[in-house]
Amino acid sequence: MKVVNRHLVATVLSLLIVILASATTFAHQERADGYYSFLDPKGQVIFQTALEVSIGDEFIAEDNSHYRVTRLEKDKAYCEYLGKISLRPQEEGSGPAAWFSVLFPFRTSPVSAVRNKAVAIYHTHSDESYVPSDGSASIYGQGGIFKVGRAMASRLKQLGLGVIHSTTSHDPHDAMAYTRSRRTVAELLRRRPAAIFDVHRDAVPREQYVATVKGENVTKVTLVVGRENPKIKANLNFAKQLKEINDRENPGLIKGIFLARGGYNQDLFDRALLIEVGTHENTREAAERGVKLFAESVPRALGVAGTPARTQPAPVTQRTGSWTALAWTLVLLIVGGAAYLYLSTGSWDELKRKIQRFEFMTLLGQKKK
Amino acid sequence: MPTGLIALIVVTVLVYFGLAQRVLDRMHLTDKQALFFLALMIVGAYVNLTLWPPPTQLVINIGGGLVPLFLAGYILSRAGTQHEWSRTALATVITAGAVYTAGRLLPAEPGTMLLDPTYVYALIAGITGYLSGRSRRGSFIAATVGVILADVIYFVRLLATGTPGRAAIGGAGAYDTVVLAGLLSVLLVEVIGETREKLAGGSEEELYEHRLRGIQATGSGRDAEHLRERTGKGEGRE
Repeated sequence: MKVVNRHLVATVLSLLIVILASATTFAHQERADGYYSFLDPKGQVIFQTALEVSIGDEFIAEDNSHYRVTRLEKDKAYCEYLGKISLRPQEEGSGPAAWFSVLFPFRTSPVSAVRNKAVAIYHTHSDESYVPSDGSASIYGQGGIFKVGRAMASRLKQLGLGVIHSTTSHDPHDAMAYTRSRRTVAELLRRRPAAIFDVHRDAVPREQYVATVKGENVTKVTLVVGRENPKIKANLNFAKQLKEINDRENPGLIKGIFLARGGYNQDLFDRALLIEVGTHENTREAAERGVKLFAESVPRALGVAGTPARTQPAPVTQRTGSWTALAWTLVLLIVGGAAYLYLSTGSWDELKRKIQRFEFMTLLGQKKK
Repeated sequence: MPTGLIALIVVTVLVYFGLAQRVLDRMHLTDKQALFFLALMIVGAYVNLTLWPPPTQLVINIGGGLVPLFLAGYILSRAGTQHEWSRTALATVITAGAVYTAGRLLPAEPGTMLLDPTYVYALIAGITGYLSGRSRRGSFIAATVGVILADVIYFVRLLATGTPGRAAIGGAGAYDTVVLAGLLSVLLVEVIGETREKLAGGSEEELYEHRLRGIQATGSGRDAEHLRERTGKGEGRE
């Protein structure tokens, strides 16, 4: 009986954790009831998205104005202006990571290393569709988004790149979708691609994504980088490279870079990005044209394009940000280890004494001889 | 470097230097066995076995699914008592239910959660496993098998509704929720168990273990079981 009671308590507590771990429950789908509007300090709408927004999220607009969300009120995200951002790849900077870069300078991976590799495409939300063309915003397991992925794949192939396009369904469009697509990403990564794109569509009014680029009616593309991700620096650098090339060659195509809370499985690879191609209210054909234009910038960003860049040479090397991740891991390990040792000994004095005597084995559980 | 791989390497280093010996003792594993399983997880991550053909496909990754499953079975087989078997089985079912339910109830976009889904499910499995298992062995088994069972539930649902799709158990290998959940559950028992012990002053625990050992030495398993029930201890220290 006692055991049963304990299990009941465990179940109740687990459910509580589930509820506490989310801001809103019972929201299986993307925001069908609306979307967030980002407002600059003057109250002007700078960006709209159906992705969930949190305080601290950042947005780099078309003109490279950099904003950060400071306050959320219903569907409004109030932002502070952080100035214009440079799209040049960020260096590793200071801090623990810099020490690793100094000690192991060979770690910076040349982009030339990605030559002869394929580009991988997959769709976490495989139901996403375009209402005017597909008849519905969501088609279970076979959304119109697959056709947008196919359009991107075919353009990349025409440009001479290898492509691995996964049409694995990760539906239903629920919270486990990213856990399921993580397995697809892992499988795609075993084939060692040069870059990997999770192709989505947004769910905001169509005007937000309508554009005319090179005389074609297309949809814009938003690049999404996950903030809860040890590879954020590398992923952001890749996003900036793509934006810089498109701003030059396809002005108006890139809507911006959204740094959103979450990882989006981008911790698995340096050149992993989520892209939002149009919205459910755009036609799929416009999205296909938009993604084809976007695809043209990919070889250039990977340093494998045939023609040289006009105003700025393609970057020779790009910092991956992996050392930052490793440095943070080590820092966390040391802090966590120290906390654990403190708990094991009970006092700083005792801990100091043990360290001085080098009694780690007994401290960490090995039996005294 | 992906989180799962970092965690596995850190654990490998700890095991290699003998720092996780107490944990392994409680899980009835030797250092060599632990290193063997960890190596299998990393290497096996590159191989998938198809259990059910498309269009509704079920695959299991060797490193992320089969090895943790085998390890859980091995630990359980060494565990022994009927009480532990039934308790672990119940903990596993609760964990699977919690993980699956969380998947259905939580919002679809990672931005709404406190943590990224990869860690949320590992955390849910780890905490549920700990609360219902309360031992390192029980928590590890409940967390790993619980996440695997949640995938099986997903597959059965696809099959029942005739939906084309793919359930890939542990498909992300060393980066998968299965592996993270297993490691996290053991870590939770270790840290929470250690903290609780410190808060309780520590002596009661040692006294309990001392007495348990004394009883076991005299050969009365029933007395040991009785003591465990009576003191409500032991579960957190196995």
